[in-house]
Amino acid sequence: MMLVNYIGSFALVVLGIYCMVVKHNMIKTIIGMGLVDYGANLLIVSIGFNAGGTAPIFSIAELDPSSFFVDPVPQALTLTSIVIGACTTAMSLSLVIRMREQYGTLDTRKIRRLNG
Amino acid sequence: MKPENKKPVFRRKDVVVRSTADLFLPLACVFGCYVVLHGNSSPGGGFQGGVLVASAILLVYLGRGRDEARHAFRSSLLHSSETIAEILYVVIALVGIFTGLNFCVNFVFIGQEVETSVLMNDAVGYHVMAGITCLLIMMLGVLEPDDGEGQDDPTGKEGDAP
Amino acid sequence: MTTFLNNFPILAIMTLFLGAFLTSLVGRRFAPARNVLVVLSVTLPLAMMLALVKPVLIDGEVITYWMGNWAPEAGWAIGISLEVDALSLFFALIVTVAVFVSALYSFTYMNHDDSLVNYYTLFLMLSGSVLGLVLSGDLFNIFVMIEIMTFTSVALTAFRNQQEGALEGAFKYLAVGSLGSTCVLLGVAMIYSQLHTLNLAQIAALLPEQAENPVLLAAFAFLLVGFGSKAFLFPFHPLAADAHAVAPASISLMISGVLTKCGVYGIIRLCYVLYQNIDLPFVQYLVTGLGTVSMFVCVTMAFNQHNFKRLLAFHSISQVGYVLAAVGLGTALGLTSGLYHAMNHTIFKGLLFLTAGAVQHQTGSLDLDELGGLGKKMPQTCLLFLIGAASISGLPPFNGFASKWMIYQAAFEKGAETGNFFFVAVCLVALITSVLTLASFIKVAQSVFFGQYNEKFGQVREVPLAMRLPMWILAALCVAAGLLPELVQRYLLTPAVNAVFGVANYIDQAMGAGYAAAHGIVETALPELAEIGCWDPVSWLVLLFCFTCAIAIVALLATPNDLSRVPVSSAREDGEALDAKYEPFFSGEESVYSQVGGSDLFWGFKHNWRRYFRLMHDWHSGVVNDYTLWAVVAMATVLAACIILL
Repeated sequence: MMLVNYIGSFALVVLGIYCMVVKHNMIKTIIGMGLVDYGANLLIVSIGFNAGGTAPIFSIAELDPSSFFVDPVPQALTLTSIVIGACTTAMSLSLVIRMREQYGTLDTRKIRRLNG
Repeated sequence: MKPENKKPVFRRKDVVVRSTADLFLPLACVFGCYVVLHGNSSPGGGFQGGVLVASAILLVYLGRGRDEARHAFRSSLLHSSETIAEILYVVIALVGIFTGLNFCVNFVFIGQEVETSVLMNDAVGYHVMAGITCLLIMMLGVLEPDDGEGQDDPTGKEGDAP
Repeated sequence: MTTFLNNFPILAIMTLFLGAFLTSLVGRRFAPARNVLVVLSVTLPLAMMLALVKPVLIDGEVITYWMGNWAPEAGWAIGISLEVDALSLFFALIVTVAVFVSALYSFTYMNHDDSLVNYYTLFLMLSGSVLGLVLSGDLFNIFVMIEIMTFTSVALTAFRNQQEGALEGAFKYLAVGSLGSTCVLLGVAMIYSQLHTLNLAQIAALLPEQAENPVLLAAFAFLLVGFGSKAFLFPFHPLAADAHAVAPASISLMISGVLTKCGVYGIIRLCYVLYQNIDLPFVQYLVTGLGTVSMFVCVTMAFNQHNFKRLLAFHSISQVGYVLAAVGLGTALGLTSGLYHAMNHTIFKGLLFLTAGAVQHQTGSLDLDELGGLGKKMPQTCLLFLIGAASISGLPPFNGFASKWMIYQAAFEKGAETGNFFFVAVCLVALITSVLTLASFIKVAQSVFFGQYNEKFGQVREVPLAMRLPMWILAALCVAAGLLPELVQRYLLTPAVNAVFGVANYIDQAMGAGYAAAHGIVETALPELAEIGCWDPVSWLVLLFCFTCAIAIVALLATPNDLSRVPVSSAREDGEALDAKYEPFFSGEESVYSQVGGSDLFWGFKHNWRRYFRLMHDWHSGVVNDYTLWAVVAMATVLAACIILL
C-alpha cells in the first residue's frame, strides 16, 4: 500500500535531479532542488505511516497500550525538513534575483566566471 | 526622473476583492493565533499558526496594493520581534539549567497536561510570524524594483522545529 | 564530576546562538556593544570546551546529556541527547579555537564592509551549528545542524555580493550542497525506517545485527556521500574552490578549517561507530580511495590557478584528502595520523587564508599575476605565510611534517601488513602530492611576496596588529604542534582514538550499562600504537639542515662555467637584448611585468602534462549543471558499489 508512495518519492527525487542536471535556467534548477526535497519528505512521511493508525495526539490520560497511531517522529522530521526546504528556496531565489541584476541572464552556461 | 515612463502603481479598485480581503484579515489573524495557542494538544503548532498569521500581509497586499502593505507593517519592528522571539525560546529552554535541571526541561505546570512546550510553541509562533512577514515584505519589495531596494539575505534561518 | 559541568556542551552551543540573536538585536546601533558581544560569545564556548578537557580527554568520561531529562526507557532512546566523547571534544576544540581566531581577525579585516551586524549574526550561527553538529548525539539533529551550517556559510559566501562572482559561487555551493544535504536526510530516513531510533548510541548498538540489510547499506552510501559533500571530497571540490575564492578570508578559514572537519567527523562516526564496518576491505578502499583521488586531483588543479584564495582552496581539499586517506586505513595509527592532520590542517590552512586576507585587505587584489614583491612591504605577513607554506608542504620543524610522516607510515605499514599494493600506492601518491604542494607554494611565494613589486598598488603597509595577532596565534600553534607531537598525541589524539575504538563504552554511557553487551557489541581491546620516534621533527630538521649545507657548499665551490650559456628561447634573430623573463626555465611567454609570472614558474611541468591539465580545466567548467552531474554520478556509483559489494 505504501509502495505507491515510495515509487512516488523516488520519481520525485529522480525528476528533481533530472531538472538540476539538464535544465540551464536557474529558476528551473531551484525547482529541481525543491522537487528533490519533496521526494525526501514524502519518503519520510511514508516511513512513519501505519495502516489504520490514528493521529498521534493524546493527552496522558488517554494513552493506553491498545492505542494504535502513526509514528509521530517522522512527521516532526518532515516538518523540520519542509521548513528547511522553504528556506533553501527563499535563499536561492534571492541569490538568483541579485545574479539576474549582475549578469543580466538566468542561463547557467553564461554564469561561469569562476571556472578552471 | 521621467514620471510618464514610470509604471502606474498597481492598486486594486475592485471592491469585491478589497472587501473580501478586509473581511478575512481578522479571521486569518485569529485563526492563526488559535492554532499557535492550542498547538500543544491539537494538530498545528507554532510554525503553522505563525504562517497563518503572516499570511495577513498577503491579504492586505491583495486588497489594498503594495504601497499600503508596505506602510501597514514596519519591517524593522518585525525584524527585532523575530530576534526577540528567538531569544525568548532560548531563554525558556535555558531556565531549566539554572533551576538545577536540564536544558529544555519542563519547569512550569509540572504534573499537568500542559507544560513548557506551550511557551516554546508560542515563541516559535511569534518568531515564524515575524520572520515570514519580513520575508514577504522583502519579496513584495522585489516585485517592483523601481523604488524597493531589493534587499538581499533574507537570513533564511531556522533554529528549532516545533 | 560536578553535575554542572554536564551542562557545558549545551551552554556552549546556546551561547553562540544567543550571541547571534543578541548581536542582531542590539548590534545594529552600537558597534562597541556588538564587538563585546561577539568576543564574549566566542570566548565562553572556548573556555567551556577547555574546562571539559580534564574529565573527557584525560579521565576518559563520556558526557551524556538528555534534553528535558527524557532519559531512555525500556531500552529505547526517546529523547534528544548530546553525547560528548573524546572524539567529539577533539573536534569541538578545533572548532572553538578556529572560531575564536576567525572572530578576532574579523574585527579589523571586515572594516571596509557595511551591514556588519548580519555578518556577525550569521558568523555566530555558523559557529553554533558546527559546534552543535560535533557534540550532538542524535542523527537528525546532525542533519539540522548541517543545514544551518550550509545556509549560513552560503549567506556569508555571498556577503560581499558586489564582488565579482560572489553570488555565483554561493549559488553553486547552495545548489550542489543541498543535494548533499538531501543525501544525509535520505540516509537518516532509511536508518530510522529500519531501526526506529535516531540516537547515535542506540543505532550503533542495533546496526551490526542487521549488517546485511540492503536498506541500511543504501543509507550508509547516502550518508557517506552526504558527509563527503560537506567535506568537499573529490567530485564536490569545485564548490569549495568557488566558495573560497569569493568569501571573506575569515569565512574561508571557517569553511576550510571547520566545515570540512564536520564532514570528516561525520565519516569517522559513520564508519567507526555507527556501522563499525571499517574493518571491511571494501570500506577501506572506498574511503581511502576517495581521499587519495581528492588529494591528487586538487593539488594538480592548484597549479592552474591565478587567484590566491582559489589556489589555497584546492590545497585545502587536497589536505582533507590526506585526512580521509588516513582515516580510511582503519588502523589505530591511521586514525591517529588522520586526526592529527585534521587538527594541523585547520591550523596551517587557517594561517594561509588569513595571510591571503591580509594581502587582500592591504592591496585589494588576489590576482597572482598582478601581485608581487610584497615581502618587503609586509615582512611579518610574508614570514607568517612562509611558516604556513612550510607546514602545509610538510617541512620538518612544523606540524605538517609530523602528521604527514605519520600518514605515510600508516599507509605503508598497512600495505606491508596486508601485502596489498593499493595502500603502498596511497603512500606514494601522498608523497608525490606533498612534493607538488611544496612546488605550488614556491610559486605562490614567488608571485606574491618576492618578485617585482607592482607600482600600481602604491604604498602598501603592514597589516595592523589586530590582524597580525590571530595569525601569530596560529603560527605559534603550527610550531608547537610540530615540535611536540608526543604531547599532542598523549593528550589529544590517543583519547580520541580510544573513544572511537571503544564503541561499547559509548553505547553503555548513553543507554545504560550492559546495553551494548546485550546487543553483541563487545568491548574490544584498545589498540596499541607504535612507539613514537621515527617522526621526531627535530632530528629530521637537523638532517635537512645538513643536506642544505652540503648542497650549498657544493654549489658555491662549483665553477660557474656554464652559467653564461644563452637561453634557447630568447636567442632571437634580430639580436634584441636578453631579458630574464624569456629564460626557458622561468617562462614560456611574455608577461606584463618582468617578475616571473605565478603561472609560469613550472612551465615545463605544465607543458608535459598539458593534456591532463586541459582535460581538468574543461571539466571544471563552472556550470552548475555539470557539478550537479558529478555529484549525482558519485552518489549513484557509491550507492551501487555499496549495495553490490557490501
